[in-house]
Amino acid sequence: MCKKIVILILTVVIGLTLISCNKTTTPAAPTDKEKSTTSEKSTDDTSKTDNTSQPEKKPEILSGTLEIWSSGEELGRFVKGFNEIYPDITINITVVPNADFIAKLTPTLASGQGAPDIFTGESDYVKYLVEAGYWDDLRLEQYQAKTEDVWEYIVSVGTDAGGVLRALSWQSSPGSIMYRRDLALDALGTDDPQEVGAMLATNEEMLKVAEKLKAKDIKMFASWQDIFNMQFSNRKQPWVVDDKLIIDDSMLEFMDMAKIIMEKGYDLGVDPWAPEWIAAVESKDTFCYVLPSWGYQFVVKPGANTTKGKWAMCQGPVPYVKGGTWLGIYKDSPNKKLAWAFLEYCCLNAKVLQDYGAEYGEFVSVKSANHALAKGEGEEVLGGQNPFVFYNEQMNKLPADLMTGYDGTINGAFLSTTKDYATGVLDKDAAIAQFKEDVKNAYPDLTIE
Amino acid sequence: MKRKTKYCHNRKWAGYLFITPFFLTFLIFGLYPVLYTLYLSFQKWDGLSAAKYVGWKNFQRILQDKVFYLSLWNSFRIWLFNFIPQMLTALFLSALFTFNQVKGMKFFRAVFYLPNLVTAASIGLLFNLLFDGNKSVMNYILVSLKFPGAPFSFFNSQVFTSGLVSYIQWWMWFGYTVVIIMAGITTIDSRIYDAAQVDGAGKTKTYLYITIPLIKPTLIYLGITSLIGGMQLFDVPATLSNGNGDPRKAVLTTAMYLYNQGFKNHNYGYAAVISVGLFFIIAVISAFAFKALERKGEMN
Repeated sequence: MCKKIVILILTVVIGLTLISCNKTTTPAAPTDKEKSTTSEKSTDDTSKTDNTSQPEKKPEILSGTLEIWSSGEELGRFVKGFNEIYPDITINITVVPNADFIAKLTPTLASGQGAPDIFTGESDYVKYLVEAGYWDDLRLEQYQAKTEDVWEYIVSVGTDAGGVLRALSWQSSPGSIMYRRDLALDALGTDDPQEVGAMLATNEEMLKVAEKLKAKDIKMFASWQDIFNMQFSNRKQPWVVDDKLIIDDSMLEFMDMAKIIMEKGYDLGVDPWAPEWIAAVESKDTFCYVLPSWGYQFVVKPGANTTKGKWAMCQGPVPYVKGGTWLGIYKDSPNKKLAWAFLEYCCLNAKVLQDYGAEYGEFVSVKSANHALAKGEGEEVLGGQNPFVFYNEQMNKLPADLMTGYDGTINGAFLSTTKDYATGVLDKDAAIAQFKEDVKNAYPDLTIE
Repeated sequence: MKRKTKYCHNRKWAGYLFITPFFLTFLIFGLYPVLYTLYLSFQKWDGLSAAKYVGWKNFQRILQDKVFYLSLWNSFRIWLFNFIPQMLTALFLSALFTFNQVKGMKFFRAVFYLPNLVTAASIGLLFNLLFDGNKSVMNYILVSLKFPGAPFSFFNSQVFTSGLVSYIQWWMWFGYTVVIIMAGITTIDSRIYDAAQVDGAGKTKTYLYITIPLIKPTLIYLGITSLIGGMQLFDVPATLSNGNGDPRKAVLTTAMYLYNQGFKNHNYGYAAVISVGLFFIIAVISAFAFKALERKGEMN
């Protein structure tokens, strides 16, 4: 009898374990408690909602819980407003640090167990996710994303090689050179963004300005590595074309520029995000940061205290865009209707994005919202300059989207070997050879000449 | 009735029942991942699309992979330069604490142990604050002392960065080693010390010829666990070098290389091979160490 009991217990335990391991036996968790108004008409209403839709338009009544994985905190800012329209949708946002995001996401997607309804992708790996096809096609009938009012760049990055739109964003990150007006006036004789921008029209001229600043004991850059953000858009081709590594001439030029900056001491000699780099916002001897819109939002604006009003933005040698976070709907999500309601709210609703941009100062993905924000007052930190006016101009000048799924690793390898060249550890040929070797090691299937 | 009693008193089955929970947990969270890693090592898989069988290709690659060997050497070197000072410090401090009535000994022991409780990420950031940049704390001190050559670009030096990781590991772990060695010392029968005293042995001789030989199993245990941990070193060098082991892969450990190949470059198959390689090396080292322990047991 005892033996039978033991066998029974073991069988039950093992059976339960196997069930929990076997994904195919897991029921397709009917967590979608969507209580749509059931009529066809109401579904049509949702699909027709475009970027001009107002929250007052009596949206479809939806309820349920939406799981979102994000690599940043910003999405949480939309929840309160979203819940005013959809009070019955509970939004759970799990923030996973960017460095660990892919490590957490890929096994979940591959196994299909516990995947979120919406997940984000940062610029370093967004193309990898876009091409992987785990985000649903946002042009499908149940979504019909209308993107006429979205910056082309955002749509282009969110679109895969087959032309399928997989992801959108609430933000956009055009670049600038953020410089100190007081130091510019002292060393260059003007603090006007147009005039300072004209002095920085090419890489050579930028280095001449650096020399002028050096004469006044001012470091031009916080870190030479910041310039890479800009130079990245100066390429004619992406890092990889037809499975072949392309080292654009502008990248080679950047290596030389980095070396000059290091040798002549035009920067602080620190890596970006080092404490000293951040502290340079308040320094007396650091002229500029070469950073996109998030740099203003997360570095200059919060850091400026005694230097409030002493900052301005101008264009450097090339208009650029760097960074950004995209989001898409998991293809097997049981809550697609809820997910679309949220994604549309964050990424396509001009009114919502205009309010968001006004509150947080972040440049958004929808053109009309940015144009409306450009009519507002300027920023105190920037001495009254309105960054939206500047960013709108920059977005219109942007080159084609040069992002690839390889960018995160290749950029890291390139900066690392450029540093070796700039600090004199390797000569240029050896540095390039090392870079190629590192890329080959990371992506052995690429052709490298 | 007789049969029932026979079964109920058969302890064999009861034993299996008691060990079932452990083995089930082990099978799911221990053995299955190991076997799955072995399976993955024969595949080419980017983490999201379908895996493709590639035979021994990943193994052939690892045999010729210079970065893999470099990462092994890095892990071993960082461990060695942390382990030797760690043992010397711990042996010295444990002798000091055991044979002398040091005032506040418990306080010091606790303080020495404290760095072990701080998370590695915080320690990475802390040391970055101390050394990164011309205006870092250390450069600030050196410049104000008019130290020749200051300020230094510390993190551009391979020797410095590697040495710093070893130092941090030493700093984090020597307190733990002191505690374990002191625990080992307390197991020694005090009559042996009495006998030594009667024979006229001084403190140094007693420690060198009685204490250390008698705590050899503890030392070997510390050596094995430290080496295994050392070969898997990840957190401190990763946070200190932004994950890529700079400068020039000086602190790229095998675990970091594995992580980068898997989760950054999406070569899960190759990452699996690296992990198999690491497993094999640790298994061999452990086997040697166990042999050493066994021999010690036989000698005793």
